[in-house]
Amino acid sequence: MAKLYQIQQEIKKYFMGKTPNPKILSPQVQKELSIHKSLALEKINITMKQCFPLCFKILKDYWGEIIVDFYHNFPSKSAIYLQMSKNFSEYLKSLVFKMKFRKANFPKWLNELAEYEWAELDLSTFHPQDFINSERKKDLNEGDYVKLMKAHKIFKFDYPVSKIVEHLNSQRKIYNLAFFKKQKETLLIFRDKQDKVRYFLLSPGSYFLVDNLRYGIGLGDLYEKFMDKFNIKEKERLDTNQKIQNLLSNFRQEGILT
Amino acid sequence: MLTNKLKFYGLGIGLRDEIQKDILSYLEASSKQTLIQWLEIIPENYINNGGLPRKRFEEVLAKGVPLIPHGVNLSIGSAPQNKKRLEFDFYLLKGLKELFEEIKAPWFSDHLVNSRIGSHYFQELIPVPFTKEAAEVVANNIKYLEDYFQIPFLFENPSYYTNYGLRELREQTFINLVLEKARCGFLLDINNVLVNSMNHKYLPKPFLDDLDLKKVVQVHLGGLKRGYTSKLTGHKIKALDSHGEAVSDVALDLFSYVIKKTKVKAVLLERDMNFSEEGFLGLIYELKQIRKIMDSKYDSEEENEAEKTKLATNQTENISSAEPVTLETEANNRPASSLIDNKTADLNMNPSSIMSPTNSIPAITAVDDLSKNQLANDLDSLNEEFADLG
Repeated sequence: MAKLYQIQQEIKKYFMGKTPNPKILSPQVQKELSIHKSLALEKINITMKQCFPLCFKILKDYWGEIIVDFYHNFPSKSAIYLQMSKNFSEYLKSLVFKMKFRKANFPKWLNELAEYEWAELDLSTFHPQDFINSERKKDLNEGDYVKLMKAHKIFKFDYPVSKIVEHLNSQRKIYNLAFFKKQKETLLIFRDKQDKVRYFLLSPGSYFLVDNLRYGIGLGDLYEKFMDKFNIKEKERLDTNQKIQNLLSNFRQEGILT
Repeated sequence: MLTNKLKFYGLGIGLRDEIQKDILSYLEASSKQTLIQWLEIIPENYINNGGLPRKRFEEVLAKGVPLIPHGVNLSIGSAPQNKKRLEFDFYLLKGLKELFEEIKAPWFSDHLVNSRIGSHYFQELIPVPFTKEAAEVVANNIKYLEDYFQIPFLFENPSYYTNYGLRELREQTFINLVLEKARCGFLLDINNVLVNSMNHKYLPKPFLDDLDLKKVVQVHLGGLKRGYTSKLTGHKIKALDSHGEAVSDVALDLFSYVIKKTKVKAVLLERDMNFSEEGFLGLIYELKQIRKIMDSKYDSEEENEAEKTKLATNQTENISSAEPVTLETEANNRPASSLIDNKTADLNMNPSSIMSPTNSIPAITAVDDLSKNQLANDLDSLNEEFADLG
């Protein structure tokens, strides 16, 4: 009789879609084990549909095949379900390069959409919670030290993911997916005070500010850096300062800035 | 780790997102006279969470209702390579430990399965073969976990759809062997016994008789789905432990049978899916049925104790009427729950929070009775099959 460790190695092969040793797992046992594998696939199917509803919308004709392929090739290394979703987003990112799905002609922005959906999930449960009461002080002064809250991610996408998300979320019928052409955009995805995950579309200027805010900076230094970077003329500085302050006030109201 | 000094928790239900709101409203409305005395949580869902999930959990913590963790991924059946100790997932253990401390868990439990092989989690409770070697492996893993968490551990008998064609030990012998070697507690899932009895053709009561029921700390009562076909091979089984149906009469009968034989500390109505609009009301109805069985057990125990007391008092009086005799009765240990008048218990519910049209209960009963009768017929035919086999 095989040792338990050997039996489990054969079970692992079976669950990963490889051929186990029939002397250890007979064809009958494999059939019986298929109940367990089938149940696992059902669980993953349901969970991933819930976690990646937009990817599911565009992949649904291949979804069953995708779930099995994922299960065989990207086994989860974490006991936490959420981490399996991270794994799934990695898998989806690799999908456009897979030979077996070449005919499916998946949109080139699929990897970016998967990344976006994972970010939504990850931020919605992100720990620790580091919000402070940003309404305690209304105005920002040059001497203030400002920093972005931890529950955020910044993405530089090659495709207009914000428009794609908006389109897929709408009730309209999905038209030609190739409609969305390359168009770079930068998104700040964050969790707001109400624990909703949202995004800001960043211009080059606002991206520069956000990038500096990630690690914390004095407001005066931030103004200076901005003026230098974009060669703001002296007569325009007051106006620019005001614009920056408005943007930062907006961030504070949303609860993403300390 | 010793489990006999654990306190009595009574009847509980699994905390699931779909019914959390209903549970909290019910607890608020029913206050002390509640059918829900504790909640079971799947700890893996609460590790290192922030945002809304954490806030939702804090709402539960604020209620002060006891929480008992029941895990799915400790994988106590995983075998180590080369007789070394199994390497556990320390990220998981650390997260669980923090959570157990936060909720002051009186014990924790997981399934007698392996869900992780090597470093891979397979998101399924894969059965362990019933062998002496496996019993040794499981017991060693349990000892390590109890040592790490410093609270008692219970393992649950799982439903299994293969026994790997190995017949070194019978299932009940295997379970008893693990209990003996690990010196831990037992979480008896009655529905799993029923499901296994249907799929592997044995009678559940003799199976229960063979188990070391004195080690049962907690009982799970769930529903089963009749018939399931593997989507991969077309292989069919008679029953599936689905956690999505009402508890059958047969399972309730087995429960009644078990608690006559042993004292359990906690009983759980297990439901993970198929929560329809009137689902929570259906769950309340099921809880009432379970409570009724628990109460009748405690009532009869109380009567027996009273009889014993009377008899002992008479005997003592006969021996010496001058010496005062103190006899311990179990009446004081009787759970507060059994003191509740079942008829009035849910009249305290806030009708606006949980709609409870009384006429919907018979409807649920009618549907349930049908499936229960089918199940009973199945077991009858199973009995006949065994009789035929001589």
